[in-house]
Amino acid sequence: MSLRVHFQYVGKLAEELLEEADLTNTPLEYRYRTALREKETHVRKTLDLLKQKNHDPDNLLNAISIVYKSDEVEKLHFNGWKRLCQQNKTIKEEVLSKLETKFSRMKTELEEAVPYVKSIAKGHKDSRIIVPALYRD
Amino acid sequence: MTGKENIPDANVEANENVDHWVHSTCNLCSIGCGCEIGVKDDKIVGIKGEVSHSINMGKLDPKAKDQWYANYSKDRLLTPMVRNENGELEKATWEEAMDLMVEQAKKTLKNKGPDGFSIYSTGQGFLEDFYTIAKVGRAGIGTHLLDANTRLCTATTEWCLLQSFGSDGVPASFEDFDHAETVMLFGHNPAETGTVLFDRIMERKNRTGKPYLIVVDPRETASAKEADLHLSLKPGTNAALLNGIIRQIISDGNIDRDYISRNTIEFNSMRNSIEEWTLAKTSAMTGIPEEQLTLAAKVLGETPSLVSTTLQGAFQSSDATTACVAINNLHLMRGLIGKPGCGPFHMAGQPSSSGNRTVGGVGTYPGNRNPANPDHLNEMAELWNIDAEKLEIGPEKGIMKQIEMIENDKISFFWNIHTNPLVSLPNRQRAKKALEKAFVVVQDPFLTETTEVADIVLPPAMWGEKEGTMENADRTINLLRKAVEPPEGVKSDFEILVEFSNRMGFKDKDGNPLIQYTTPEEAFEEWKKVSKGRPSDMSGMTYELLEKEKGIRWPATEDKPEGTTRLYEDQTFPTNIDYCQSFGKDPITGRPKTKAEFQQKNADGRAIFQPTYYFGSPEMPQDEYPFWLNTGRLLWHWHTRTKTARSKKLEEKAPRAYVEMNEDDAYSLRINQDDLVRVTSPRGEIQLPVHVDNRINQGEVFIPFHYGNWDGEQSANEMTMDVVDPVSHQPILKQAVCKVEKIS
Repeated sequence: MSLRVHFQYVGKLAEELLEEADLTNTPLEYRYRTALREKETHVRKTLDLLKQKNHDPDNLLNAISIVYKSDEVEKLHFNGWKRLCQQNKTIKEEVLSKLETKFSRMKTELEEAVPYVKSIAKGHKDSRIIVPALYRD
Repeated sequence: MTGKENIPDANVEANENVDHWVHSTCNLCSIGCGCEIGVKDDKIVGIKGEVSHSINMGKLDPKAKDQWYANYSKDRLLTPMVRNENGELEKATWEEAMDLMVEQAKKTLKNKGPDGFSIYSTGQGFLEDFYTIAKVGRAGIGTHLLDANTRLCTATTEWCLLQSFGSDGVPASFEDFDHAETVMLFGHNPAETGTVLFDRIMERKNRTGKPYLIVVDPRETASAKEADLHLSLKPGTNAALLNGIIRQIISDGNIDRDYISRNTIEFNSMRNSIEEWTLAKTSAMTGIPEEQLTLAAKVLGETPSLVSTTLQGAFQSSDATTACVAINNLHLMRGLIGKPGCGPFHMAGQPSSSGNRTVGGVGTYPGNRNPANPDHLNEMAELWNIDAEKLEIGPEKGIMKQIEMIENDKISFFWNIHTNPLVSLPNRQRAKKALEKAFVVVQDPFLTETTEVADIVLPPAMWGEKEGTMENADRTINLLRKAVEPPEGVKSDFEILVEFSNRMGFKDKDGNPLIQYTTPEEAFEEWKKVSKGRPSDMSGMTYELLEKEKGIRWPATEDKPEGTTRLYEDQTFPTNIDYCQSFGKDPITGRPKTKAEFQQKNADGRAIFQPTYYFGSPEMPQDEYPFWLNTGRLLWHWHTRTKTARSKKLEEKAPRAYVEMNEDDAYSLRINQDDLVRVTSPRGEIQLPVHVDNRINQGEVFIPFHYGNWDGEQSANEMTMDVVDPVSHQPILKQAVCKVEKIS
């Protein structure tokens, strides 16, 4: 496994989630989808940079950092949105459950990618700046 | 209020026989009124306003005059309590309680690591307590899960200031209310929640006709009744209203172009974000007639001086940070900041919530240090003589995230200091269920709704029984001297924190105890060194000077110990990349920006215009739940009434919750005054009597949030939404949907 493999999978899941239509057209859904889109963009950017032989490590680490930070805020809004959907009974549980599975999987992938991020960051930056605390614990 | 010069407001028993008066500060609301505590036979017997204190000039809020009764309440806890095998709290010695606490804390650190441990504190403690929380929490435990009820109170103040100016610190001061031609109270009802400030405004207005007063509030509050212009907007439309007004001001050409080009960046980005907000669209969204919007834009566009306040109507609403940032934008584009009578004034709710933010007990690192800047963390490590790796990077996690983490077994130790989340948090049944899973320590002088889930209860000293400082809403640091000894069996928060640190064996790099100070004053002296060179520099302050000067506003450096009335008089903002407190967050998602992204802005001393996209409430009235539910405060009570319900006079004024409803709505539902109704939201239901009046618009109801014991009191937070603002992570407590049914 490598950072590329983990990020490719995260990108695939993000794409799948973005392909789904807006379910409620509400602010929280818009916010989590915006974060998801930003994450997807920076996953692609990371994968492109990894292909380049002489990539700028700062540029690469910046893109990776945005992926992690987007993932973290996207969860906050997704969970809030999910709660409101459940409380108002607007979306079926099985639909929410399917979405949640994908969101959780992306987080797991990003957690598993941490050792690779650390090795890229070594000598350039404290990896703790790149990866939020709750992905490292 | 006396209304007479030099005669302080007071409430003194045994008026003729007070032994002595002790210098102090009111411990309710964020105005920070100077007062003196009357002592007789080592017992508090009264309070009076400090006439020579520049903030209140002898005046006191009605609640303030009764705040000492709780100290002598018969149900005050005088010994720790520990939950026994039968699930009941029983009395314990301090030794037993602290042993158990330390044992559980060590177990948590071993099994879950530092982020299995959370401290949830308050905005009502002292700066020295908060600084110790910061040091014990960050350098001792190593957690970054330090939050406080300030998340429900002033988190949005902090974040709107970080977004616009690069650092915390309210630009204007209370003095500016005396000079402003126009004052806008935005979601702020000081006639009930900060009466001393409201009297200050109205005394001048009655005498001189100034300031022109704009009040923005869906309800016709006591403050709104006195307004020259009351903008009664629909719930959740704060950002829409401001976007419409700001667009109109720009369109009228009432902006200071020189100021904008010299002192700010990204004006065009802000302007583009509000382009769609014509007055017609704004009127349709907010429900405010176009003529009123035109008038507001004219007054705010032409006034030569302006103070704009915000409080919970802004902070606990949808688009909270966006609305507060829009107010900063308004001041910046008109150049109305850093001058007498000018500035945004984002309030605090509590007497020292600002202090908690300043010293890092909540939010970022002490002294407005940036948790994403390794140089700032290295500085802290050097000051605390610890390894920098010990200090966690990144922004804090708010209480709602922490509740989620407890639900998912990520946090197993929750230390709750001087706050009552099981009345104040949204969707409180969910919060209760979560807290039942964790090991919970509650530090409170009384059994509360939250002690129901506590494993340990520690009884602390109260106001008047301890020494320390507090920071009010305008950066004033006030001193509170100890008036009386606390009752036997209780310890101060400060003593508890230091004892915990020592028992945990927290050490610095040289093997010395992490906490080496032993008194609040020594803690303050250490904090001064930490603050030096930072925006909240207090190196010029001493306890003696604070008492003599009756409070000093930060920054107060060694060269300028008299402090600083208003920030940014030189129009230099703390946005230099190496100095700023935050690299900012994305306004839509709240995603923390990276250093590289902030660097691209090249703000470097200039203020930042932020885009202000309107989103509105995540939940909207619908067939099943046709009403908006708004929650808020009453004149007679403070927070969850832990103190004010123990004053007979205050409790008699407002003994129970009620739901306020418009006359036409009541008529259509065949509901009469004082009828019992059931109010239901998607999260829960309560039963309470109706107050019918026309202070509230049709389609909206209002319930005070102060109530909610588990023995039948009706809590508004059974029904509120457990979702947060994307930037400040402040819960949206002011908007939810509900239905109302008469109980026959």
